[in-house]
Amino acid sequence: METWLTQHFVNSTLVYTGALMVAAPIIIHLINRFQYKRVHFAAMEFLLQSQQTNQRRVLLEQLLLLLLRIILILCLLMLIARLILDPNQLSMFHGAKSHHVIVLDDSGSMRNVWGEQTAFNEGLQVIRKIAAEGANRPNTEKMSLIVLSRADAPLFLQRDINEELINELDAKLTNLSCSHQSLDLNQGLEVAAELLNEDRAVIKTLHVISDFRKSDWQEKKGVAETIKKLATDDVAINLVKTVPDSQPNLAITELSGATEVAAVDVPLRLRVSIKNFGDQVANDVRVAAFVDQNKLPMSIVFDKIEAGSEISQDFDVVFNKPNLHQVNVSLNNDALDADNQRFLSIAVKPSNPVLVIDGNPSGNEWMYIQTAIAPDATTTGFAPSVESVDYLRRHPLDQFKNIYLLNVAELPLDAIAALENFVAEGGGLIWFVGPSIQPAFYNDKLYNDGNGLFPAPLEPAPHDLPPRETNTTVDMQVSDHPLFSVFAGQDNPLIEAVTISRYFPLSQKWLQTQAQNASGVNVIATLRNQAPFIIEHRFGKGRIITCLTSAGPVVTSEGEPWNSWAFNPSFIVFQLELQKYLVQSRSHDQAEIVGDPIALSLDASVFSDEIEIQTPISQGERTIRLKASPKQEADASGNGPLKLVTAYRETDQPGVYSVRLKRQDQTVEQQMYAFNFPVTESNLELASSDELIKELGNQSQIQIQEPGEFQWIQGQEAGREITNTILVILFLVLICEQLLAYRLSFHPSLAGAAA
Amino acid sequence: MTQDYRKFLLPEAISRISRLEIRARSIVEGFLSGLHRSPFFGQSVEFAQHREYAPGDDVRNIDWKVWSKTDKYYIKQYEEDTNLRTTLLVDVSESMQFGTGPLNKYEYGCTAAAALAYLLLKQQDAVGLVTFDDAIRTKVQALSKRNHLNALLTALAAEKPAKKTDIYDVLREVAETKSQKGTIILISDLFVNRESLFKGLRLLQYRGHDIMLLHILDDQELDFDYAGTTRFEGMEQTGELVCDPRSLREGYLKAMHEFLNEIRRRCAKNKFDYQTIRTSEHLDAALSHYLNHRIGMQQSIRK
Repeated sequence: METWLTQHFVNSTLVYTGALMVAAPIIIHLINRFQYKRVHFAAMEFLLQSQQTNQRRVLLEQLLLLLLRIILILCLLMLIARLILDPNQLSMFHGAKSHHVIVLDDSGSMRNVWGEQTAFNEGLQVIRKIAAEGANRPNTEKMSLIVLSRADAPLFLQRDINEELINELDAKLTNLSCSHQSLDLNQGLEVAAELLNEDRAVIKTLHVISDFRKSDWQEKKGVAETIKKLATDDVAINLVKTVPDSQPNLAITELSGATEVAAVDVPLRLRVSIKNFGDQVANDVRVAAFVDQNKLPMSIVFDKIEAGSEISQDFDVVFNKPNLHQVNVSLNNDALDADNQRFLSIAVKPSNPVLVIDGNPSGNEWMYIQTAIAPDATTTGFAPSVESVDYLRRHPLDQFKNIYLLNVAELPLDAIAALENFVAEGGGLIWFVGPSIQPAFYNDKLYNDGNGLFPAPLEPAPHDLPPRETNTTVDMQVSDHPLFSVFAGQDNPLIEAVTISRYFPLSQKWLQTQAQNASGVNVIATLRNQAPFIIEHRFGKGRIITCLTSAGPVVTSEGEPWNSWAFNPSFIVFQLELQKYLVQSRSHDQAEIVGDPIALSLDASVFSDEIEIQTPISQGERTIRLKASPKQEADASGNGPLKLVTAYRETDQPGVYSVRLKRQDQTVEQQMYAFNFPVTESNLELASSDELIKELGNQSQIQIQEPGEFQWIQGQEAGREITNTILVILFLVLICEQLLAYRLSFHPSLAGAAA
Repeated sequence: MTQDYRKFLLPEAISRISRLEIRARSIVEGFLSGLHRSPFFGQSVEFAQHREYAPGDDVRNIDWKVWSKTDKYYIKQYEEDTNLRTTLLVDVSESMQFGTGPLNKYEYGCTAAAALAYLLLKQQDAVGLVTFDDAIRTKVQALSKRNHLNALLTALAAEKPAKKTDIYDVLREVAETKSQKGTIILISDLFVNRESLFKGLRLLQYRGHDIMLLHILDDQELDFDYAGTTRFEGMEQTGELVCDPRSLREGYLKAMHEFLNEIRRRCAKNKFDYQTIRTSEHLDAALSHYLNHRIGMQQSIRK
């Protein structure tokens, strides 16, 4: 009975009182029967006569009047207790132990500002109202609050809604801020589903508070599936929208460049991209750039960005000092502020060392390379050092960005191991062949059946490329590989002028049988006769570029140079591009997405376990001290090097986090990590209610609540129709009651006429 | 005690009606010269007829002018005026005790009786009184002496009514004892058996009496203005009833109307003078209206 009541009345506690009120007309009637005046009356004869004739009519009229009055009271009772005929409509606060699970989307897009309200604050307001309404019916309502960024640890878990909870909620919500991350709504829904499934006996309601963006909704089918499944499990679902309309938004989607090769006083070219997520053209968009919080005296102007399109521009930054620098770009404010900034951390070095090993000590090929990548230390930022093969065995290689191996006949085995280690860790290796090389050694030790540093086996001897007959063909045919992006285009006089006379062809057998299977081996340039010329392949984390001709114009026994590339300006461009290209593999992602942890794994023999992390300035530049925990890295022998492992997870705020690592010798190493707002959150296009309904099917269990409206929380929405009906009935009953009462009562004017 | 029975004689009312007169509608046999027609011929200025002389007639009445012309003895006969013998029949039963105004029906009836008695005595008419409930309570002989009023008033005041009205026996007894023709004024609420009432009245009329009915009713009996649940207790063991008077009002008024109409109709049929008087009306006004109206009515013819 109680359950029935609570299911059908919003204020079910009033029903009992109201039921007692129904007795009021009856009691009044009875009291009137027993509390009478005594009158000694003479003309009883007529009175009795009247009573006899009217007895039945009077009784019926009296009963009717009594009935009307009872109905009046019932109507009033239904109005005040708020009757709701269909319990499903009463999505909120049925009474009887019900469990409200609230999933609050706090992904970056909820920072969307509309009016003077952010979508997130609107969501918080909804939660407060739900809790306040729940507190009106003590001991019946339970609440769980799942914040999406911490879906695995609900803020409240099956707590009874009461004063205490409201105070606690208030305190927690005040401190709660919207994250910047891109979050999966489904994750929160699954936690909610688990919670609801545990709870078998209660009326279950799920409130999903989100901005319901199209990208969240339509691209991730799982969300709709989970909701549909919950709906079939008899869970009432409220989809609470917090944003009324889609809003235009401009976002900086990219800030990148070859930061690994950044060197002092060398201009570093950075690329900034802006995407217009709105449906209108954006004009005169200005982007300001900052280096170490100081605004650069320029702004990057995008004259026009078409709706939905992304435009990039490059700009150069020069760093005067070697160190860690941070660069950020920012846009004017719009609906979503968080994506108007993008950060990049750059470790600027005095110069980038490059090792050049020339296999022919008497040769001068190293000179061409050195001249190409560092004509002057300050102009390119590279510092090539030319060494002999022996150097590889005796010195650590990890200080170098890239290593050139020019015309190296053979390598000692320990040198091969050192090189393999270097490349596997992300170093770049460039092979140039030449007359000195021993193809047999290359095929055996370096190619090593596809597991070595050399991409493919070679033929035993170099071939000559017949001279060109016409000027219409070029010796070097480049693909659209990023390395050659500079040469892209139909007519490129630089490339056209290059002549290649002699090269080392790849083994025909290999080309015919195994080339297709050799994954990761990529021919990026060919010769006129379609023979592979420049090959790229990966080894571990690193990349290897193999050029099947000499680095310089090595003269053959016939007096012909192997090629004339070294004399061509394109050689310099290629070498510089090559440097930038190869170092990319070593760098960690140029910028992380907020929410990703900073994972550190340090060599215990070098670093102490004390780590300091400084959060971005916009977050107040707090310094956090972490203690890394030692961990034995298991290798084959089970006795690997001891590592200090830790991870910093509070990277919600976009910006640059600097990490200070203390070495055992008390010196400090600094690292910087730039964290950026996820691009996926910038698209503010909303899924409309119709689209949601289409996606979910028109189920009565699922209600969609528009933003700014809170009536549904009090169940007003649900009972409105029936309320109107009751009001009409009440009005009619009142009229009937009055008419009947008038008919049954005495009226002096008529009395005069009757007498 | 003196003051007690004097209370029915309201000086203001008396002073207002003192110039009225009560005239018998039919011929009454009085013993004094008065206002009223007598069935007898007597000394009067008004000539009535000639009649042949018979031995024993007073020779003083012989019309000698007729004898001189016809040589026959005729005697002249004149109309005789006489006084009125009026009997006031006052109902003092329990139902008359009902009243919601300043006077209950009994008091009002007595006051009316006193006023009428005063009036009649003033015009030298003889007034008698009979009070009754289920039987005759008191009887006062008709006298026309001025000081007879005291006796009448005493008889009115002395009554303590408590019995049920049963009227035929009373009327029959009155008819038997009042052999002389006169006027009978019945002052009552008439809550009696209508058949026996009219049977008795017709008996009186048959005996030659002039019948006047003063029907005294209280406002509440006519209007029935009660509200709220009320327990009505019948005054003459007529039962009791708890009800909402409003719901019964219509039926009650209908029944009351039927009752009044029946009385009125039967009175008209039997040529009884009938008047309903509300206890809230001023007695003088009610009496003046009634008496003036009565004078204007058709005079009865001599039998």
